[in-house]
Amino acid sequence: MSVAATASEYQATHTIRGKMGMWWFLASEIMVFGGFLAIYILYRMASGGAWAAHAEHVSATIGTFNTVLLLTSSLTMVKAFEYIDADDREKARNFLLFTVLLGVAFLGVKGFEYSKEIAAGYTPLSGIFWSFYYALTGLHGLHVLAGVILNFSLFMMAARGTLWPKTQGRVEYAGLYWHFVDLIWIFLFPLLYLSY
Amino acid sequence: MAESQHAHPNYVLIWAWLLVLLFVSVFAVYLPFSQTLTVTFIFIVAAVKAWMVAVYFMHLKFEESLVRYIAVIPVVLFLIMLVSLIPDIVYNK
Repeated sequence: MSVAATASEYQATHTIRGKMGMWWFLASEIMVFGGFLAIYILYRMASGGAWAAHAEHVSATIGTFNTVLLLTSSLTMVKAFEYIDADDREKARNFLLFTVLLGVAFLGVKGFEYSKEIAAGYTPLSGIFWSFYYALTGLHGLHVLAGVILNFSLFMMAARGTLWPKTQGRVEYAGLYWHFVDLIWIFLFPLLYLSY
Repeated sequence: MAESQHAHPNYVLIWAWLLVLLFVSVFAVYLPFSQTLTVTFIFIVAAVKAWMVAVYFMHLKFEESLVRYIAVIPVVLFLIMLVSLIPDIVYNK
């Protein structure tokens, strides 16, 4: 058996382990967010439209803008993975940076939105809609923060050149996580901003 | 080592579709339909967007069936949990 064959087998096994590990983790994440979303949906249905007055107050414009940021960051993340595959290291590094910046922008906008709502008197204690709003977006925001840190560490490795030749596969797994965070937002956005 | 294990679709096109669908759902709120119809429509659009992200950005289209099962089974469990609790929480007053 040649050394090259052994190395590529090693790589293949790692790819399967890494990807499977991430998918198992995401499966558990579906249940974490799922339980939370389900109870929000059910209580909102049970309220018979009584939450609409509160839900009307959230800014659909800011929410839409943030959705655009997150969707675009998913594009830059998958482009980073595409360039990893093509072994274009400079572009892979740049697209990792774009993803980090878009993630930071999302958190910045979210922080601005929180401060705006709190200034208007809507705190997590202002009623059940607001409790859910802050808890759901807060949990999601923490996931965005974790993704930003993860992507930033990959960007630093890419900038230093230490991402290659063994660990570039991590960009794909980090991408899976990042797209999942985007996917959760795809449901949070209409649930919190459009259902009034 | 840059072996491409699967093809890369046109990601920019998928992103453009995601944005189109986003604006469709945002403007659907202003259409003169009943609230039930509008909310149903918005969530169908969200499901299509989620499907596009999972299939193309997360490459489920190109994965082996085991990965697809790991992804789909929790979603099915979530839906069962949601639907089975409706009689108890929504209609039990």
